[in-house]
Amino acid sequence: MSPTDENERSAGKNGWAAPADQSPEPADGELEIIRKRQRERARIVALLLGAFVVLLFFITIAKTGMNW
Amino acid sequence: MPTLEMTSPAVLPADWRDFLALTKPRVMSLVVFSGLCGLLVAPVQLPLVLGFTAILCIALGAGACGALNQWYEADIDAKMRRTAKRPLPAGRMDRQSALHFGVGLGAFSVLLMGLATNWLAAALLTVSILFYVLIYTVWLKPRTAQNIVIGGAAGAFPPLIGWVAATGHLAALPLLLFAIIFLWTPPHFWALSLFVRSDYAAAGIPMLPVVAGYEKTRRQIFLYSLPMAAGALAPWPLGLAGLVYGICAAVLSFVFVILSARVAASRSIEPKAMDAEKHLFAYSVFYLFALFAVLVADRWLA
Repeated sequence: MSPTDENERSAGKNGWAAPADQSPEPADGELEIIRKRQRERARIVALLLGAFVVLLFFITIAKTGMNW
Repeated sequence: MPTLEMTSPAVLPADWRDFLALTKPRVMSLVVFSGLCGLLVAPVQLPLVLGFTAILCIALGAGACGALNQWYEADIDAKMRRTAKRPLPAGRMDRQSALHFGVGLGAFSVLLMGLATNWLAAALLTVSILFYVLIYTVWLKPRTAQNIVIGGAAGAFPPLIGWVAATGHLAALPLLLFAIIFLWTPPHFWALSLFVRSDYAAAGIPMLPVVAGYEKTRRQIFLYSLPMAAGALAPWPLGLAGLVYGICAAVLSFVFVILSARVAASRSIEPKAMDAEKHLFAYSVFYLFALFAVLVADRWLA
């Protein structure tokens, strides 16, 4: 068997094969939960970063006002 | 000694609520409150935003302690009914995420504290985080029944940090507040550990009731409540607080000592029958909140 045959045999229908050390592709339902959690986490991180920027702005104003 | 293997491999990315749970929000509330009181009794008034940032940093530092504690103790938590549903033992999160979250949160809180207030406050915050994680969680807790006595210092830092964030230096009153929480911690935790003794025993944690038995623990609770009450009263005769604080501290501490005496007199070994211990535990939380609130009120009335 040639190396090409071996690759084709192990590849999925999209021509992609998961490396041996990776977990198998999640099922559709699980993928949906993963995407939902990723969206939620991204939203929380975005909100926290926004809040941090606002906080830094006010800290700067307060510090310069105090003439430190 | 807990191993560092994964308890249960988590496949899904952890929910943000699990990250929040890692920070032990209920414990954090007392830490934030005592830190806020340290800030409010200081003779220097910080601009609102800097005061808010200082308290935020104390809260984030406490959250980092909680996350790192749960990262290290995941295997122990899995053996205790009270903690088995936490994100790591329940398998809702992998350990590495908890470690990264805890270290990141701790480093962020220290840097922000240093930049927003002063570096002495940031240094104290660093010491409190390292003390809680390395001295208490890693070293003392799995090894000695004195874990809570020495480890109690970690929880006593917030009012000190709050004060230093406002003033930039240490003074007698915040050191007394440190001493009050330090002396309050053993009776508070031992009251809890009496009615969850079987949990600690199952997890192999050498809490005093597990190592020395019920009677000795109850006696120690009462004995520790006496210097704690003296420490709580001390700001008044030392001229660091007024009459309002003195009277309230005396009443609150008297009730604490009476409840401790009831625990010392109790002979129950069944958790369901340990009313005296449960009352003391619940009252001890109220006691610290009330004592610090009265101190702030006394300062503002003066």
